[in-house]
Amino acid sequence: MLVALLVANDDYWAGRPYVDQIVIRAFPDEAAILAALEAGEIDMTLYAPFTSVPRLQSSENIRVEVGAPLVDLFIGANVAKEPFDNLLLRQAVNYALDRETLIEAGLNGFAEMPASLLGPLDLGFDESGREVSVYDPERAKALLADSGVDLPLAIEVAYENNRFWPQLAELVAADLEAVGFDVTLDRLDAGSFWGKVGDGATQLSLNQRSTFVPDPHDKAILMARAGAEGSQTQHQALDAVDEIDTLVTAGISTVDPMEREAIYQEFQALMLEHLPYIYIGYLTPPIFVNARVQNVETFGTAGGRINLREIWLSE
Amino acid sequence: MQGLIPTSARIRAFWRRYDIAVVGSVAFAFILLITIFASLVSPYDPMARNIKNRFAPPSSENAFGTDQLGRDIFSRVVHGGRPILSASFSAVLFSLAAGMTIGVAGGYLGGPLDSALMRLMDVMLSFPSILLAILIVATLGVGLLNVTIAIGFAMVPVFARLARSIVITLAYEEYVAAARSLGASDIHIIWNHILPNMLPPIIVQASAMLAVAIGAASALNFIGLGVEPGTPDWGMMVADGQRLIFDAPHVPLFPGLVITITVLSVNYMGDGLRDHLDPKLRRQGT
Repeated sequence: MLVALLVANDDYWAGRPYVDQIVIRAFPDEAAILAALEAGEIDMTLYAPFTSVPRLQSSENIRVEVGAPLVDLFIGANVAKEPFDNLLLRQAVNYALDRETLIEAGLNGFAEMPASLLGPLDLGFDESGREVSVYDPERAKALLADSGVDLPLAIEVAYENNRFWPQLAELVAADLEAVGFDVTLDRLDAGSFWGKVGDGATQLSLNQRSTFVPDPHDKAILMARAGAEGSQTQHQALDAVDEIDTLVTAGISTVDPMEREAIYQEFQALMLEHLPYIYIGYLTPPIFVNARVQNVETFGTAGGRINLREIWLSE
Repeated sequence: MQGLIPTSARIRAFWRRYDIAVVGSVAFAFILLITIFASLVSPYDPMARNIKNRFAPPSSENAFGTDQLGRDIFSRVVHGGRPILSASFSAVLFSLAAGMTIGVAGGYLGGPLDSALMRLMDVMLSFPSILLAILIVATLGVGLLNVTIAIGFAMVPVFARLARSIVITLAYEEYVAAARSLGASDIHIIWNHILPNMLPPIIVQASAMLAVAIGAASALNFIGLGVEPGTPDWGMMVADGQRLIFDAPHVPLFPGLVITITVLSVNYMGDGLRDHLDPKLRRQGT
């Protein structure tokens, strides 16, 4: 299905694009995207199944490039309502996740181990956050016991019914059930999922956030400021919301990179302390390109922002 | 005369007449038995993951291979019939009971009740059944019980229409008139004279609708409206394996194949039942 037709602007201030037009097409599922890619009907996609990469890497007609870690994958905990208004439970979820398996089996290895809300390409990225995002099921069980809730604790995990999410959800559910949660998986189409998350009707949601540019403010404003549009955890309910807001404002109001770095490191520590987001990994998505397409800039493409102006075809 | 025909000749004649039906019945009985005794038949826990052994092709260790989480596909296929078959049987029983009640009441009593009931059935029939089922599940919520209700509800008009048409014919039979003239009550006539005579076509219809119900339950589970994700279920397994069709085709292939064989065997069984229970066809065959 044709979604959009982009035509080259001859008068563009930075010069005319190399290609005359670009057709944006929609497909009902990943298998259809893959079939179209292999048949040469489409030239580029981010949404073919990750499982196809080993086979496509040996293809003469298709090139697979690996994108930069611009996309955070995480579990958003709704901190405005029970049971995840309880920090101990959020910490239990954090330590229950076997991220190595999630990345290997759920994402076919296309992710890096997470540290915090900010990614490795963001200013002020604090690697020490990796000490929090670790697999420690015994600690998770102890935290659950300390929380005083009756076990197994029935919870619901919402996710989108597309791409790698269903597979990831099953693995997350298994990890959580192993420490004492009783998980119901809530598989939703994309529209219903985002509606439910936005309405604050989820308990835990498998979620993602990418950035236009690798500046920490991009994620901080959307994911941490109280009342920010696109809130995925209702974080306005956190005790530290004023403190977080102050840091977000200071981060964007400060010019000096060193000062900003310090601000965002403090910000990351605060987010890890309160854990409205429980990190799964930094996605490094495979970018599937027809061999004739040249000069694909993988950096922005990894975040879903493709610089089409620089692309040209070898034919 | 029948006693003079040797048993072997009778078996051969029966086979010639009902070969496909026998194959269908045996296949369906086999699938039912496997499903009922799934825990005894499956070599592995259908939920047990072995991440290091993902996408293993069929082998002596894993007859149907392993899936995206390293689970044994054969064990999952063996367990995967339970949700679909239990939902399908329950849906057919529900629609049979509800449809026959409506059809018999409308056909026997006639008048405004009959008109009202049949217009209601017309409205239900005007929706494609799978669309109606989706609409019902969307309203009631996701889950196998709701899938069962939805499929059963969507099939009610089929049985109601059939039951009504049979009752209208039977109600004017001489033996019904005789029973009535002897003072038999309506309930007595329906229970003792009409219901036994309407069973053969109803049974044939039920077998046909069972195949439809299996297809519908698979479809609803395929689109995620039935069982919870991760549960071994044929429809869900095909859905999960759909995107692997080019890279690990065995993942969606085996559950898909089992759905096809099950529906086909029920259809063949239904054809045989129809041949056997329809007096006209039976006469032609002998």
